[in-house]
Amino acid sequence: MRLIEYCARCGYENRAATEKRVGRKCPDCGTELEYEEVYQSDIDRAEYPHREHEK
Amino acid sequence: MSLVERIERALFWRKPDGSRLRCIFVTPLFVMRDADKVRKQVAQIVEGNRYNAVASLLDLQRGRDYIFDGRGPMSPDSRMIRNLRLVLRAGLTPVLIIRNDWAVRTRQKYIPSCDGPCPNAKDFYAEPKITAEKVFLSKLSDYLPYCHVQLNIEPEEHTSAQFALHIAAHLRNNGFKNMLLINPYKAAEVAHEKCRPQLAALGVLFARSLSGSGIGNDPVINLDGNLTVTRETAPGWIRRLEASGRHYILWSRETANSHDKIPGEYL
Repeated sequence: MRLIEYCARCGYENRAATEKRVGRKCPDCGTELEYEEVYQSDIDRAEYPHREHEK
Repeated sequence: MSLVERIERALFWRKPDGSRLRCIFVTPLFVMRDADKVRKQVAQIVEGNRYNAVASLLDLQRGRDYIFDGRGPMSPDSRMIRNLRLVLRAGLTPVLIIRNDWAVRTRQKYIPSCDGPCPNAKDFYAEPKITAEKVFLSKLSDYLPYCHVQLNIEPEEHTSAQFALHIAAHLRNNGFKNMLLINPYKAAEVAHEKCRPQLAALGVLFARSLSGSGIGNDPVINLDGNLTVTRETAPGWIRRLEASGRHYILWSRETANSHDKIPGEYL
């Protein structure tokens, strides 16, 4: 699993977050940040959406 | 588009598959400040398992104390995109009501797409607005394949018909495949009727507001503004909408002002 820290408002993201820090604000717009734990396979799927169809 | 957004798109967002539109109109949903309340309302709609779509106004006029401006003349607000993502993530299809003709007709004091009032309705459909609207839509291009678009909401000005036609053609020429809806009002109905063949050629569906007890003949039954829809009458209305076999949009005064929970009778 990888922890991603991101701002749902302005799109800021930190793909290498190490811990959830409640109340941490976005450095760009000041909105409270959100956290998402994602599988590497989901990242691959998002970044290479057609990969599974490659022949 | 951020990584998280791309993951959401890959895992959760669904392109409409042409199935029947079963839509609840929650007027402020896309522009509510409190994301937790948006999440909760979206969860209610999903758990109700009745609707596959939710309509809301991107250009909702100021006045409710729990909303923000969902757009400017040419730009979507990032918080509106956040709310849109919450709807998409839940597997629902957003119906984007992109402009607020109703607010122009009723002379509201602040209409976000005008960055103020719109004293002259003709201005709302003039050439600069067409250009601005194309720019605005281009900024939604990542999301449009997953949404339906309602081009107007009760415009009375007759030039609104050509405006809708122009934007519909623009969207189709740019590959938009989903539903396009129109909801003209009074004098504008005549103007839209005159363009009916061109609108039909672009796959634009009439979805006029029904204020009484009938369900009209439009392909989309639209209860927008129908004050006969209440908690007491909603179950009966829903049965009629389902039995009609047509696309439908259920609205009530309560879903228009639901900043907390959506009453269960509508779900």
